[in-house]
Amino acid sequence: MSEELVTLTIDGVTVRTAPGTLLVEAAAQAGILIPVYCYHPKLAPVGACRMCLVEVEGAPKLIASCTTPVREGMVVYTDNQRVKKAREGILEFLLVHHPLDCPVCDKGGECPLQDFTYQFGPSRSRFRYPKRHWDKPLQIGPNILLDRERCIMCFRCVRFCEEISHHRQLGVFRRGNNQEIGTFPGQPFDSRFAGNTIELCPVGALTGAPTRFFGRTWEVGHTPSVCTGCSTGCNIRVDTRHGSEVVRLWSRENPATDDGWLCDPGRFGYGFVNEGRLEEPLVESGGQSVSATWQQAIARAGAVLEQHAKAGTLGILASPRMTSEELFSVSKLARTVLKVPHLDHTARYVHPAAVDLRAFAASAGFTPGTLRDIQDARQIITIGVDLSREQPVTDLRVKKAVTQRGAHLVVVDAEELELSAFSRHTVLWQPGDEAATVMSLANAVASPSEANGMRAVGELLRQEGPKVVLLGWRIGESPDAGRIGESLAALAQALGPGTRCVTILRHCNSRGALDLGIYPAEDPVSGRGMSGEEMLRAACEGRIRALWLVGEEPLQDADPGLVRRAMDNLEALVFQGWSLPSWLERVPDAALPSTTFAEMDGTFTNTHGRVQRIFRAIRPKGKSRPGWDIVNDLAQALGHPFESRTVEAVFEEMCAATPAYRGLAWNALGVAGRESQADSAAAAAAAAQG
Amino acid sequence: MFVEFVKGLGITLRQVFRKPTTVNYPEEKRPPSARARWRHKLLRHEDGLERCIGCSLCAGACPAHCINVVAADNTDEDRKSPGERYAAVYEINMLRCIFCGYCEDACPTGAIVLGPDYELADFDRASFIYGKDRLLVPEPGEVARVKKRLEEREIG
Repeated sequence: MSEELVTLTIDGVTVRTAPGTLLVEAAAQAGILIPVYCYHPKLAPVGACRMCLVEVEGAPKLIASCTTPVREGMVVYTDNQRVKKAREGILEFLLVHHPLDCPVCDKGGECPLQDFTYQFGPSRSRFRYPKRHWDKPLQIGPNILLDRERCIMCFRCVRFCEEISHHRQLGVFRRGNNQEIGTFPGQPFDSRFAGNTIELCPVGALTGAPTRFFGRTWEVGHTPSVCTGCSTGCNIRVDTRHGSEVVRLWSRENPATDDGWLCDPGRFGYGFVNEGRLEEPLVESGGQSVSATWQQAIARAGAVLEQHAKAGTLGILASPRMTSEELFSVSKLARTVLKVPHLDHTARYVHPAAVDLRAFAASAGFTPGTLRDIQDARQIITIGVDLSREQPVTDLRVKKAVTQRGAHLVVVDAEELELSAFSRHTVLWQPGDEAATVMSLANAVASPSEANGMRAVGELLRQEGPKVVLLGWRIGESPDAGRIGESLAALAQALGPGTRCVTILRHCNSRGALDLGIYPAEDPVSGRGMSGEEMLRAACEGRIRALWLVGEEPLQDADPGLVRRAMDNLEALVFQGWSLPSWLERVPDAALPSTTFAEMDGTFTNTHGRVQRIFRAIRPKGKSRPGWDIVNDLAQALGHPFESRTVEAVFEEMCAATPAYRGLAWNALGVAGRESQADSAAAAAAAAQG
Repeated sequence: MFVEFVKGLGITLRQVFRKPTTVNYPEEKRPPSARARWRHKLLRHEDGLERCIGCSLCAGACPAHCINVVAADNTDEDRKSPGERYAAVYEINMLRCIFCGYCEDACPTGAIVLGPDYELADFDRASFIYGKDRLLVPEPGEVARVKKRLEEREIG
């Protein structure tokens, strides 16, 4: 090892650790617990709570181990009489004004203040005066409740807002006995990362408004899963009650995707699991939806699919929020049983060359990258993507790279974005002028003499170091995508080989839908299928007369006027999903209730190609069933039963049939997932080229 | 041998003239012991507010897992208990309950107590799940009113 290790003694245990390590971290490495409140591995040390006091030989007073780096030959005591007395004193002070309303507190049961008081604290208080009281709870933002009585002033929330989210909406007000955490006048705590402070808060001072009184912590079950909000694939822990209701989502750190944080839309966006569900199969009868048995609904749906598939008038739209197993089953039924080439995962316009955005970027000469590449990048370029809105947790990753490691950010978009505040340069394009703008950027990088106002950007991007380009899905929806592709090729050339490109897709399994070929492709028998948008136009003209809609997202994303006209013209509609879309005006011939992510096992593939497992957390609502199971029944009804009868078997079959997933094994995915092969193969090929 | 026979019958004869130890239940009822722990009650404060704050500690302590509590927010317009939280749902499955009294021990506000009422028989399983409608004691004012009415009836 090139770096000299520092040797020190903690409680008689010899510890060798890297210089610069904090004492509290060195103790943790040696398996010695030092109680902490203000210390957090992802936040800068502050030494506010004094809970981590330890005795160091030679130091006249006890010192805070969370702010002290290790020194050669240090002799540290973490549990001698002096330290124990100090801890008792600190806890007694922390509890002076603490209301001890643990029975009604959402944190009760998972509260470090409770735990450490039991473990290290005095059993009684000598404070004989009335406690300080404040109004509670105070709603300081749409999702956050503040209880100032419970606060122990560790400032984790304030530091998170300053150091991580950079939404400076919390502050510390007044001094001494009256010190309090609060918001600034007229500015609610409405940051889209506010929910993380609930997890950071070591007491019950910050709690979630939507999850208030979700049940006591020991009553909820925990199941690992993956957030379905956007395509980042943040790992989550689904907290459930009675095995029948999702009550809370919690972060589950995975450095490959989420880096330990969640955004509020994801954290609190689980309502669709519990409410508004399609709970039983419905069939159309006399212009009305009436409840039916699964047999009746499957028979009806099968008849519609068969009739229109034979006539060549069936279109299939499958949502990229469905699991890969469900999408694979739909695609298998479409291609092998129904023999329908018209299969897509969105009904928006997508340029044919840019359907698979990763392949589009790779053909321009970029190496496919992963979200993790952002943290090692020297230069980060976002093109046509507002990360703050589309992938909030990736936005945190970019902010971290810029503020903590000094990476350079260049934002290329139609307008100033939130991230522009962190960028060295923002390159603006006029709508319709994207290709030219990217081309001039490429020229500015390629040749220093180019004087088109981009000289400074060019110089910045010519610097050495790993570079990452983040490319948004809107690029693929531009009619001009072909020319943008040429500009991107020039940019890839100018940035040099090995420049990584992470494509930012829209939905949690958009990547999976692309890997599984849920888009119009050249079919050897029936020619090229229609895209989702073409299907809707064909429906308006009567060439598509029936639609099998698996999940509402493909149409939700599309032009509402076109959707309405297409829907009016359709003869038959088979809907499969977890709730009937609110915008759906016509009565579907058959509605098949499928389960949400919380009620089934399966996999999602995140935006850069990481295949991650979801686990069943609650019982399926009503009569709903996993989509792949429904498709199995449809296949049976159509006289071509599928062999794979379990989700594991479907997964194995899918991996065998899909080049990107070759080599993946169900049991080897674990709770953190695996990168799919496409990336590593492409990366290796590009590396060999470069 | 004959002596023993008469002796034995003598014991029987003596019992015939003693006051019987059994009572004609259900017409007659014996007062339960002062320590009897049967049917639960949810008590109220003197001002009529519910003592239960919906903290679920009773359910946590319950070895038979027979208690289900769902908490909700108190509002100033509709206040059920002092403080922020009250039990919107409080259910005890009397078939599962083993009447150990741990719930009473765990309760931080003295809301749930086991009382002397032991007549719990019923006709179907569902009716053994006691909700707040049966567990919560009537409001203190109502107790006084019922008492008064009974007294008047006895006099009248």
